Amino acid sequence: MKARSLAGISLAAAAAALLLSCNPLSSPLPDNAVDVPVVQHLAYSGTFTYSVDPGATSRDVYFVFTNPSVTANADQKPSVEGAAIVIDGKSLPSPGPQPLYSENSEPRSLAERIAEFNRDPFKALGLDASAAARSEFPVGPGEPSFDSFGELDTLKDLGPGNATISVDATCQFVSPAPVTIADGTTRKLNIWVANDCWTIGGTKSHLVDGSMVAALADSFLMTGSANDIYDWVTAVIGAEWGTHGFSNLIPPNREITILLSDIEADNSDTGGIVGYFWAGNNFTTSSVPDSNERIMFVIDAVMYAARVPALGETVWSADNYWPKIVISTLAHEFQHMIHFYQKAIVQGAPSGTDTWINEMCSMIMEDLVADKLGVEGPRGVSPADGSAGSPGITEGRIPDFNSNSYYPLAVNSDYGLTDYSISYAFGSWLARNYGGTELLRRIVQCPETNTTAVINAVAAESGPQEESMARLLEKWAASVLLSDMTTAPARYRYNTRGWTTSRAGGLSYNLGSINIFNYAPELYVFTQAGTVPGTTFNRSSNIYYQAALGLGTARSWTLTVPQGILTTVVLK
Amino acid sequence: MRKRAVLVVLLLAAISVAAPCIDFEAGVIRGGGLSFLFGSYLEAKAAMLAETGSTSPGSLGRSLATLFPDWGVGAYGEARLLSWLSLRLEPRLSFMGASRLALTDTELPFCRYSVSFSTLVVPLLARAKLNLGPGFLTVSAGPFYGAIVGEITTVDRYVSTTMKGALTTDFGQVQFLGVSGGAGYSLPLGIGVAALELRADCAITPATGQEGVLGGEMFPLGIALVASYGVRFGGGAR
Repeated sequence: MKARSLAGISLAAAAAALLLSCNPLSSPLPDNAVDVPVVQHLAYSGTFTYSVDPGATSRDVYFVFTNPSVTANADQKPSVEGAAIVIDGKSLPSPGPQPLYSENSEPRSLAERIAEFNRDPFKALGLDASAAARSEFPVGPGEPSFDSFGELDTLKDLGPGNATISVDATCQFVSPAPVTIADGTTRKLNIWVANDCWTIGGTKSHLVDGSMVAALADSFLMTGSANDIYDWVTAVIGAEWGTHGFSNLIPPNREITILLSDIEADNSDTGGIVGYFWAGNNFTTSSVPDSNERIMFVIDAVMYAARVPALGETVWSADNYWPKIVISTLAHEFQHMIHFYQKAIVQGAPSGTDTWINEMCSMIMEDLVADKLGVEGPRGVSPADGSAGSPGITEGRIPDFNSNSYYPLAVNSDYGLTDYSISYAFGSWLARNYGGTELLRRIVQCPETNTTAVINAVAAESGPQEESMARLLEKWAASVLLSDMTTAPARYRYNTRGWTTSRAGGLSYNLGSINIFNYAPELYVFTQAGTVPGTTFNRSSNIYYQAALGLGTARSWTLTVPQGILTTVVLK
Repeated sequence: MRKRAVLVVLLLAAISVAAPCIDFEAGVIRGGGLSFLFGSYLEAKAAMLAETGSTSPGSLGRSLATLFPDWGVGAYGEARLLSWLSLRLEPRLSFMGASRLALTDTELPFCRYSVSFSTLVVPLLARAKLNLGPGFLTVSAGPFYGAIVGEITTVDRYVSTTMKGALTTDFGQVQFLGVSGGAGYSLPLGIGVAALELRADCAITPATGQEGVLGGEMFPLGIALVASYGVRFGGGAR
């Protein structure tokens, strides 16, 4: 009996020791623990309470809700409809059915018409882009254009009301000699100016002269290496045109044309379409009767020639407000030009790139070359300043993002100014965290045309971490809130207090820091007391909710989050 | 779910009807040990901790699984089918979970994370017995049904901040099936039998929650030292 008791006591003691060896729930961190910005991506949904005990340091508490659906197909309706997010009784916008790309096939504006065409010209023209449609014999090289200074011609431009208009123009610049580029081949630049925009005989409110043409030429293509938009952009994402197997595309003749014209004939010097690349010009007239059969851009002449007296611009200079916008736009449109060739022709993509991705690529490119061009670019900060600047920045794309922080990212139709700002806010974060130039090259030089292109490019940089669009949307949202800190986790950084550098083609590229809270208007965040805009919770969007400012004592919230919606908690 | 409940009721009825003519044992059980969680829910959490622990691009933090308690109480009813074999139904209320200590890419701790919940575990065990010394060795094995009861609690403890989430679940909303097994030693003591066993409960279907409420899969695993005491009824009791 004694032996039995001893055995029983021993076993009980062993059980107790085993229990006590475990860390109870509240065990503290080891002494060498370090303080870090707090980001928590919650895995669960439903109704739950969430409490924060800030300890000795008061904290701002944010909840971010992510609708991760990026449906671009009518067969895949967003899975999160109906139920609202509720925080302590306050309802935020509910997820709901969204207009899907395939349900909106009537482009309304000129910009949309161009974007729709560029998305998939072959489809727009009813042409076969499959490998079977390609000849095994490459097309090219093509005949030179034989453009000559002072030559008169009529070029096609896209006008208002989805109409094509003919523009009488004069060749005002031809590269004095073929310019040797990085791959050892040559390029020639031809600049044509619409006669009604030229300094002699022109009728527009601002007229182009020879010095403006020369400045444009120098910024785009000039003799020497690594000194112009052509060199900087092609080093990252490749050539704009080359041999191909399609008889209905023009052969490569190693020339690029810029037409300066009053786009949409609006004579506006306060905004509108600054420039465009239309892939229809890459086709022969047998397929596209309105094609100019040139690898070309169109730039708005009135805006390029404009001065803004309110900014003290008494004479035209390439450093003035509008010329800098136009120069940055050249880099933007050049990305579209290259994107079309690399994606649709070289990679043989089966469909066009999603509009928001293509535009995001263009704005990342503007960002990458902004300091080289000496322009503020989409970041809206002095190109000489790698820091995040100072409070009160109103330039660039971020202010519009701040006003509309809950707008969707993956927009493919009715793509407007606010959509540019959302795409840039996301793209600028991607580029600063996932390889800069290499990220852009990976997105452009691959056959994927939707979010897969983005996810693959990110995954190639991040290595073992599994990536998805949902994870990217969550991380992006947290990064927005942490952008006023330079100690955010490595993939959550908009702001390093300096440049983020990457390389391509032997060249170095700088991306300046971004502090979302330095921009005006300030980031739109939902609050318990504030009004809720009459909007649905868009797919591929984030809702920022400020739960507490300077929380000093423990507090709990009761949240109801519909299934499919992701919740992130950020403390700072 | 309904089918399962009917089966359990039928089994209990069969045992109770047979109880007067066969050996029947009933008792209480209590245990404690360690619990672990596996599956995509934890993997996602580990990946998130690795990423938030990264201080320079190209490097990741990591997180280490740390010991987490598993304790439970319950009751059992056991019917002797053969001289060496009996069938036991053993509903237990267990506390389970998992925890991780997150380290930055410079190997400094920055967060201790835990997820925990209470579960109702109902194993149906076949128990083999072998006489040994004053008592007998026992070996048990069988399937179990598990369901999370009440809240799923997460705790994220940082240097100065603690965050706690409590997800409300309805009974049956998060459930799983698994296998239970173990071995131990039983000893007649007083009017009944005391036993000490090492027991493992391992889920083989994930606890995901209806409508994906958990956002990932969890496979609970508990390893515990279980003490029980029961009293025998019916003919043939030794």
